[in-house]
Amino acid sequence: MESSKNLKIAEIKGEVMEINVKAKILSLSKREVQSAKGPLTYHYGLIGDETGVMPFTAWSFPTTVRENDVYEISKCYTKSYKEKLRIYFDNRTEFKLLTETMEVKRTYKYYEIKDLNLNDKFVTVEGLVTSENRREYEKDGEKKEVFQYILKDQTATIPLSSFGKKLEAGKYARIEGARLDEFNGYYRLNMSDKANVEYINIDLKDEEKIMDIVNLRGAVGGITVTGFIINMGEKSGLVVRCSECNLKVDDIRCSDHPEAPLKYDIFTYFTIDDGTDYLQVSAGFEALKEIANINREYLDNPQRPPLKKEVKEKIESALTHHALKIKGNLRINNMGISLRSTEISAITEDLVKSLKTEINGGSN
Amino acid sequence: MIEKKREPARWIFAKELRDTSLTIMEGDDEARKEYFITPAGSFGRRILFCGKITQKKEENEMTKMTVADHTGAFYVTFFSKEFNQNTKIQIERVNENDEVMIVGRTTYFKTNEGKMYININPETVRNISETDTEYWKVRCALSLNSRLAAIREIRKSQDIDDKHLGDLGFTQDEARGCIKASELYEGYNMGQLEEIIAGMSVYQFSDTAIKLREKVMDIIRENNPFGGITYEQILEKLSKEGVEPRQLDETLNLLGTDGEIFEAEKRKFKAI
Repeated sequence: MESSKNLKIAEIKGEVMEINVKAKILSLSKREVQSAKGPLTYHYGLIGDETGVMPFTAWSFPTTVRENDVYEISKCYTKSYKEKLRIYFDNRTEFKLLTETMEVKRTYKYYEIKDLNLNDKFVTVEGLVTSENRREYEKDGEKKEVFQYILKDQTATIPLSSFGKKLEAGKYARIEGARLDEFNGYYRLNMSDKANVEYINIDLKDEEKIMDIVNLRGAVGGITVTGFIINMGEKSGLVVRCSECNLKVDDIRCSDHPEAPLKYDIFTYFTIDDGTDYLQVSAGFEALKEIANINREYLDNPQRPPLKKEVKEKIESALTHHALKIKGNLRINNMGISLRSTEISAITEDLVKSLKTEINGGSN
Repeated sequence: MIEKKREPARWIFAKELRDTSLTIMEGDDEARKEYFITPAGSFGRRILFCGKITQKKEENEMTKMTVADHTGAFYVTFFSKEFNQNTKIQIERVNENDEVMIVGRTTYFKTNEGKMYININPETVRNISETDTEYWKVRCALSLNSRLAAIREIRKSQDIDDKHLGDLGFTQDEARGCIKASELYEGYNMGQLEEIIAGMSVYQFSDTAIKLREKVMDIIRENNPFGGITYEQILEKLSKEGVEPRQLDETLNLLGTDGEIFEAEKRKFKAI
């Protein structure tokens, strides 16, 4: 019978059976898939030691195993999956918790996009790579290229810039070593060609996930919340903009473009409360046009220019104290987190029905 | 300047608020504030609720309203002052049988026997649609369900702290409120709150319950002028037709879920 072999992560080369490792669980996620035998739950994540980091898949996993703990793991094996070596745990694998600490070489904690925060800038993320855009730039006299994407997981979206490495748009990728930063109040991810990219066979369901306001943390996009609008800002309503620079004009002309004609626009800011917390929201014409029933023709009609009071009343009666669903992108400023909405709609009976199914799930 | 954080409005059913018999004091000296704490771990000084106005009375500068959801009644008292004329206009616009959403501050009155009554001082009153009310009911149920789950977890072991609850996915407020409520309402029976959740989940009512619906509704409606009718009295009236308790239970759940009746007192029902 083959005896188990003790190996450091960096010493694992190729597919091997019956190995023991002493490693730290760096990230731990759970997924359910449908197999021929019915639903199957497995765990996956990253483990690491002083020599390196490796992804793992666990078909069987003790519930006591936790992230950031160090274990002596015996009877595991490695296999190549999509040309990348992974370590596998099954029902023979044994985990012995160790009390020692371990310095891991290169650790990037996994985050769902909604949980990204600037306290942890180098991260592992997963998501569907969408909206490719290529741009060239010069650095030290040399032409370089950057690929821009929107990364979307089941919780949120975030812009991603990949310097020098083209990703496969339309595929679900796991990116280890992306760097998180903030620009103009919004989060974004950057990655160099050294970041590790692994494509995973996951079909991201195109279903809307309604978030509880209390769980919103970072300035990420693609967020949907619901709730009652409990108040609307005094300065909401009709605004006048410069047709050249689009900035709000409080005077009779734009100070930078005095010759440019002015145009009417609408803007509002309000507070939404969903019972878990409340959130400040702002909205412009695109988000408001349907719900407030205000169209471009109404705003641009030279025969009957829009009336300030009328516009404010239209917006107020459409929003204030109603239950609404709001989609948008979160932004951070010195007042905290707020939502720039892209779409506002009324709560429908279908949405209430789908929320009711959550009660069933939760009470089991 | 960083804006002072607004006191959050808690979304709770009338039944949960009615079962609330304790308050807690928080803050230092002058900033000390009194918060209600419910047996299911919700705490605050402001609530948001929806329901039907079943009574509205105006006397001089005071307006009293009773607003019922499918679990009971909220009591609202408004005193007209110089600073709250916007709210006064909103209150003037609503009438009995209107479906409304109200945000208000809670005030407390304790009798010599120690019984506590909670009154709501409204800040916002507005007519809403039935769908909006349904939405509020479902979100309320989700919140209650989550807190009941936290309390079940706490009752498993005394060592459970807010960090442990946080690891299980409960929010900071849920963890804090449920730990406190578990200490303060040690013997409280969560059964009736759990029944509200059960009544709201997607459930296919039996043909018997659907057939009995109108009959039970008529019995309850007839007894509204007498302050409602008890469960036992309804069952007695239906016993000649061979109606069993479980069939009546289901029918009452159906009427409660549809917002047709509420529990005026323990096991005593009134039509909304």
